[in-house]
Amino acid sequence: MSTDTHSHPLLDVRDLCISFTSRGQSIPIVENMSFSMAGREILGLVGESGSGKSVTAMALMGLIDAPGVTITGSVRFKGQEILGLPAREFRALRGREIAMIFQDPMTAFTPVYTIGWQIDEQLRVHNKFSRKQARTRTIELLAEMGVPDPANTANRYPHQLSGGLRQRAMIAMALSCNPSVLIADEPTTALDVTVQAQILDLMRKLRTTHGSSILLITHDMGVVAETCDRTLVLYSGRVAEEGTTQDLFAHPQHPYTAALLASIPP
Amino acid sequence: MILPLLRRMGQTVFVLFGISALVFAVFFATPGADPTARIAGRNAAPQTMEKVRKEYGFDRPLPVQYAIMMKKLFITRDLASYANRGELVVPEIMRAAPVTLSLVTGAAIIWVVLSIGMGVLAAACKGSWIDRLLMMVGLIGISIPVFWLGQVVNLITQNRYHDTWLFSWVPGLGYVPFTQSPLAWFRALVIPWCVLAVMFVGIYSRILRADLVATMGEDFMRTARAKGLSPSRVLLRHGLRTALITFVSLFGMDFAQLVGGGALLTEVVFGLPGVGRLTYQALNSLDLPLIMATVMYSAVFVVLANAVVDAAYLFLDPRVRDVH
Amino acid sequence: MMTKPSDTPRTSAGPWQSALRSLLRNRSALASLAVLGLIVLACLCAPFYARHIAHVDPFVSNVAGTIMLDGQETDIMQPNDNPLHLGLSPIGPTGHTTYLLGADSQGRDIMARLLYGGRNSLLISFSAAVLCLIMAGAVGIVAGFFGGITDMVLCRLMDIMWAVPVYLFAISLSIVTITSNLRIGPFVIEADNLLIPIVIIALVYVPYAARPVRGRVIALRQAEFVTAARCLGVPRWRIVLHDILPNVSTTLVVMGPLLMAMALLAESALSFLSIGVQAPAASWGTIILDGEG
Repeated sequence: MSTDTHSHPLLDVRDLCISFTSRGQSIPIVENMSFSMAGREILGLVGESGSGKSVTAMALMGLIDAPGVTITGSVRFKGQEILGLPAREFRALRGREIAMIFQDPMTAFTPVYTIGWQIDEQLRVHNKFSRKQARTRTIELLAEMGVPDPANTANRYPHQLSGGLRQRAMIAMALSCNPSVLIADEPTTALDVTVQAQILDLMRKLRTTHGSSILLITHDMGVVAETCDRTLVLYSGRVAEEGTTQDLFAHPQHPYTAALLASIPP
Repeated sequence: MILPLLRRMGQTVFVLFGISALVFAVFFATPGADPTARIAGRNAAPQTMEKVRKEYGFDRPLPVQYAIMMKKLFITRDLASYANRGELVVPEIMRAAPVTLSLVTGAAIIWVVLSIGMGVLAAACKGSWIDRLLMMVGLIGISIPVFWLGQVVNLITQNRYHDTWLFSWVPGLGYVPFTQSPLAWFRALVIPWCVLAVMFVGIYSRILRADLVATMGEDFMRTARAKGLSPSRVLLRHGLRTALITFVSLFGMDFAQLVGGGALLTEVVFGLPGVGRLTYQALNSLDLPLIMATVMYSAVFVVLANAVVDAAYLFLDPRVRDVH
Repeated sequence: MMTKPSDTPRTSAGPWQSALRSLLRNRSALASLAVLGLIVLACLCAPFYARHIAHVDPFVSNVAGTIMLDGQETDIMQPNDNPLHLGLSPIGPTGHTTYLLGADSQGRDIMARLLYGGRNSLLISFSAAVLCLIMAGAVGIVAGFFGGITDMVLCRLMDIMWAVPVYLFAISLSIVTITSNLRIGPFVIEADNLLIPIVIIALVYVPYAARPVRGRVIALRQAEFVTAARCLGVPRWRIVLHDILPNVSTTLVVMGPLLMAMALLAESALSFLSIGVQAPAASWGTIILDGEG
């Protein structure tokens, strides 16, 4: 990874506050959230639905542009403040340096284009690739993600693939430009249990093959235990507890964490 | 891919039969009136009545009458008008068809281009005054009856202000074939095109805006933005392309409806001798065979066009392709 | 337990009240409603206007007539304003109660005809919309609720009707009905009866309105409260009447104004083609036709 990581953390979030304004009233969604991520780290962000996990992810991607939403605090990526970055500069970052994969791979691909076309598109937007170069790279990526017969799969439409394959393609697309940070918003929730395990396996491998850090957002403590180095427990918009996954599981400090742990089926 | 197409063709044939039966029933099986008198026209002589009755088999059962009618319309094509001294009806329609086609095609190009522009702009500026203004304009366009607008435009361009520099180029009402003079053809049609397009611009821009706004909330639009694409690329390549599926299927139906008689009012107002105006003239002279023939041919055209639209749909939306 | 025949308060109080409340909040909707109300009111007052304000008979031609303007006797048909003063053209807007908007080519008061025409146009479009909703509701409910072959036959029939261009379909029906009086059993319907355009317009839009109703009914058929009613052994007609119909009514009500607008356009189009309202009666379509040339 780059040398920056020694001086700055890769991603450093300080006092992030997000609130929605509705009928003159400001409703806080995320309050004073702070955390940082090192290179090649898998950080878990856990919490029940409505605790502000996905909103945080969207804010990090700079994808919140609805009127009536205020975001304050600071988000530094490789030492550079990215909150409030001009749209054009943020766009260059998005997809190339910070990429994201979504919960439901069924609806996350545009239905009228082939999988390959959509991965090509991302490659060509961020690199000076010819159509052919892009497709070659796409096929490589798909193969790397364990997609069988990648050349053929690239020519298929999203609805023609199974959920697991779609999610692999999604990851391939997110990784196409070798981002430093990959935000995965509930990447396995919509999948079967066996497929879930395969995808998690793949994500663990990614940090060695692609050198990406992963921010894994989930409500499933089992997923966290299997995958994450460190874990952040979110409770109604605030960080309830933070620590290495091992510590957290061994000695939960916050009653909410304990309750979450207790909810894992044995 | 082949099977759904075949099934669609089967349906088309069925609907064609149904329509011909329906039109036949409307003209010849309405209760309480003698179809002979209708065909023969006003105050026909008894000999003519007798001839008509023989020719169309009105003394025979309904299915036979239906068969005779279909044969005269589509096979021998010798259906003749009584109100108009035995003029053959089918060739008359064939002569009028290019006029209607010119009118509708031109209008369609205008309304597609304008409504896509307006719809996309309104959706991109959702909630702003531009959005509200465009949608208001669209609503006004929808509410104006085309024959009123046409007459007002005629009043202005042909009459009141014809001699000013602005409208002196406007030719008198009527049609010039393209083959005769492309420029004159264009000048004769450009105003009718715009007038006919007004309502559709309104409808289509509003529909497209609604579709686009709905599409913006979809997950794949979020993915597209997360990929780092520019807003215009997200809106056009991903949003518009998806919303166009509905747009195109609607367009096909409306285009077919217009060619199949929907442009009648525009043709009448602007004196364009198309199929619609032919129907109108037949209405005034109560020329039943001619009306029936235009209705029947129009309906056939509409059905065939709808079949084409459905086939286009198969190409446009990969999801539909695999459903069957 | 099923002996509660009064069904209105139970089924519709909630949604209607909330709809009314949101209508009262929506200023542009209220303004539109007020304008529509004014137009309807003005049209209803057409005879009063003609007799007591304008003092004209809008149904007889009055080419040779004169009117009093500012104590001066003025011809209704004025000499043309072309250089040679050839021909006559009807008087323009006078600014007086008599012939407020001027005269048409037959010397009749346009304002009075406009109001009378509005009565016909509004009556036809309103009745046609209501009739269409009733028919479409019946077709949609029957097709959706009974399903199977009934559904298939009705759906194909609707498809076929909708494939014929709307105006051509209306024209075909009109031409047949106005060429000779329609005789249905003992009843004879005169060619100039307003019922004819009403029924025709209602009929051609049935496929358009029936389709969404059918979809709604199919969704409702699987709803839990319908299943519950079935399990209780409620007869089918009762389910249709008490469970399906009240729920479909919202779909119908939403479609009502839209249909009325379409019917209004269809009516004026038919009248413009002189196969709707027959002379000397007026409608907004015939008035546009009168203005031609």
